[in-house]
Amino acid sequence: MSDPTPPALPTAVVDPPRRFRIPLVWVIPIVAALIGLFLAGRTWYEQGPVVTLQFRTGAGLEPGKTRIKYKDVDVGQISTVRLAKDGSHVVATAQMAREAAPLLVEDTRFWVVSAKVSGSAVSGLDTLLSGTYVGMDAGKSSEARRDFVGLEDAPVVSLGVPGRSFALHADTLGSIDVGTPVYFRRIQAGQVTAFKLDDAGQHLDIQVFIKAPYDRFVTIDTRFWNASGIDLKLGAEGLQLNTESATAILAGGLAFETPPGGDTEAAPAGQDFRLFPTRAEALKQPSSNAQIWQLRFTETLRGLSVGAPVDFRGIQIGEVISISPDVDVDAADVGLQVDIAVFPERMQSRRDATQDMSEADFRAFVDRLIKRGLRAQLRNGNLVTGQLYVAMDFFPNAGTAKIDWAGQPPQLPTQRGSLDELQATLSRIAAKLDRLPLDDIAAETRRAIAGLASAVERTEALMQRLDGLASNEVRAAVAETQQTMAEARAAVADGRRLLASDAPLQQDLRDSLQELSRAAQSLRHLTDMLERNPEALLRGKPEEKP
Amino acid sequence: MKRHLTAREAGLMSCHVCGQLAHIPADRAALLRCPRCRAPMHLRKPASVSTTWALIIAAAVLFVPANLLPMMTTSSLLGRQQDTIMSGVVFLWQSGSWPLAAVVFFASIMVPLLKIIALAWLTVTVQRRSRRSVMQRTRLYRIVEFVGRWSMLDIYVITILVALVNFRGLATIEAGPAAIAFGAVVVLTMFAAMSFDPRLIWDPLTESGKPATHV
Repeated sequence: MSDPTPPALPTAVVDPPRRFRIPLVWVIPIVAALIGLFLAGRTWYEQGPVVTLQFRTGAGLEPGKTRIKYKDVDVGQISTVRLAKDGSHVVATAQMAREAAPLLVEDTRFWVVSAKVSGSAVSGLDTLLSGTYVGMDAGKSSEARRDFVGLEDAPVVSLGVPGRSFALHADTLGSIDVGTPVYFRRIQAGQVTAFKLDDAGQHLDIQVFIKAPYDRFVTIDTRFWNASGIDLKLGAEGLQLNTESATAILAGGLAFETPPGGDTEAAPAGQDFRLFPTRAEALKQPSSNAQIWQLRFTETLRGLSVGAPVDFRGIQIGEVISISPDVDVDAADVGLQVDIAVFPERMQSRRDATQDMSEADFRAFVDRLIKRGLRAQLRNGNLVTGQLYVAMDFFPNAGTAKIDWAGQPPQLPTQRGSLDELQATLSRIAAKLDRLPLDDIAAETRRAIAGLASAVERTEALMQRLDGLASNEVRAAVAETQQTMAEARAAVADGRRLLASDAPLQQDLRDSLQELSRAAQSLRHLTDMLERNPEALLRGKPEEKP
Repeated sequence: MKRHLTAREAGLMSCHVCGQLAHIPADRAALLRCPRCRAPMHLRKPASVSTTWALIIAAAVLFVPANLLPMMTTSSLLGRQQDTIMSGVVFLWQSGSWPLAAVVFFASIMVPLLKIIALAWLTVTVQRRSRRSVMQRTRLYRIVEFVGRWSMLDIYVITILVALVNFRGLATIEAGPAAIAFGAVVVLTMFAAMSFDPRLIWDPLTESGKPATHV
């Protein structure tokens, strides 16, 4: 091979040889490996546990898309959704974040969040855009768990919220639903978390959760009542309107309050309470201390309702608890018996003298009261509505009465109603007036006057005989006497005229008495009519039906 | 194949920088410099095989996170979504954009992978002083070097999207950790292709059996 290179080419310059060179290029794969290891390590580290969730349906669950959120932070993702072996439910597996691992314990709950619109709340609207997600509520248990059964509905109160749960017992649900607010002095203090029928199907057990700090106002003596809607009440007290809030009107609500003087110690969680239908009923004295009395009335009870107040000179001391007819077969009589409950606490004297009274002392005390004239009476509480109430009052003129303590319940003597009494009195007066022997009186008077007239005539004859005998003086005196006699005769004639059966005075008197009798009759009609149709006072006389 | 005279056989070498031809001095162990521009002179790219190996290994290591980690995080009102390269391809395929899915699949997954494999093969054959299919290997090298820059397609798309889609609260797109890894893979393969000296493919033909001196 020849050398074709032109000699003009320079030769490469020779530098002294360099010492050993570190092949820096190998730093690159080392760095890459480190980065790779770091990324892999981090991924492995962040990889949390895998949990399985059971749901009734797979609605909205998308593998690889649906997220699991706790306190609105992503803590996992649904990785697969498949049907259970028996096809009864859906099993989803979820890859959880590492920080969520300690939250996956025994009582952790999962549920599917989707948009929900109800009367009281609109929730999960964000899911309309972002799609359904799975909500999670971390439990408090320390026992780890990896397979869960999803809830059908989102829990109303998450476990992390401080507060306490209580159980309420009610007869009907009313407009209560899960999530119904519970108010304390019109502040929303909690919510209904669950309700279920008891095993016998007789009562409802309602779980409520009261948030801190309101939960400490729930004491043993606290009363819960249904504050749903508008409580419009027409009673002997008049028209009453009670409501808790606008939401409660629309969607229902509960409320609670502790009556003054109640226990101030906070009730333990899970304490049972009764749910009263109204606030008034809830705040009444407990009926366990009530004394039941029976009243027997002969007059109509129209206008008296169960729950009507029992009142002592304006102080409500009890209420009517039942009204029923009482048929006495032996006497062939139908009376009406009214049971009332009286709360002795409300009648306590200032010195608490009645508080420690023994049963016998109490009976003696009541006997003394009856002796003084204590009676129960039906009174008209409201002329407009015709509502009746039971009044206890002293009637000093009432006849003697005794309590039969053997009766169950003991019967209190009653007094006829005030309107009824007035009516009876008026008719008694009319009857008495009717019985007056006016004709006899007139005849007697007439006879007496006739006798008087004959006496006068005889005196006149005597005077005429004396006239001849007497002196002038005597004559003058006689003349004067004669004149007097004439005047007397005139007077007698006047009197006779006056007492004649067709005399105007007698006529007037008879007319007036008849008029009074008629007035008494009309008054009886009026009271009858008013008793039957009390509203006539407002509306006028009802149309007579043909 | 007809053998031609090589520069080394002619006792000549060229400067990598200014292209000046120069005689090879007798002292081969010495560090040589260009007589014109004083740049270091080598007969072949120095440490070509080991450098290529290093870069290929680095690229292969980073190829794993580039495909497993999310490439792009799309946050919008509809939620937050993280996409890896493969999930993007799957999404495109499922939504019916088959050509686009194919393009993304080839440009972002196949090409870097094939590049790494091709470079590794080239380097292995050079190390083994293989004399077979020299022409094909040279062509492969040309293709690898040409194709290299096109793999950055994904990165371009992401950078543009990140810059454009940034409506705070409505929608934002963020590059994920895989974007960096993927970019590194592409850059490393390009460097690997650069550091590979294609003349090494032909050297076994000239020095029959003799180990090449890569000075």
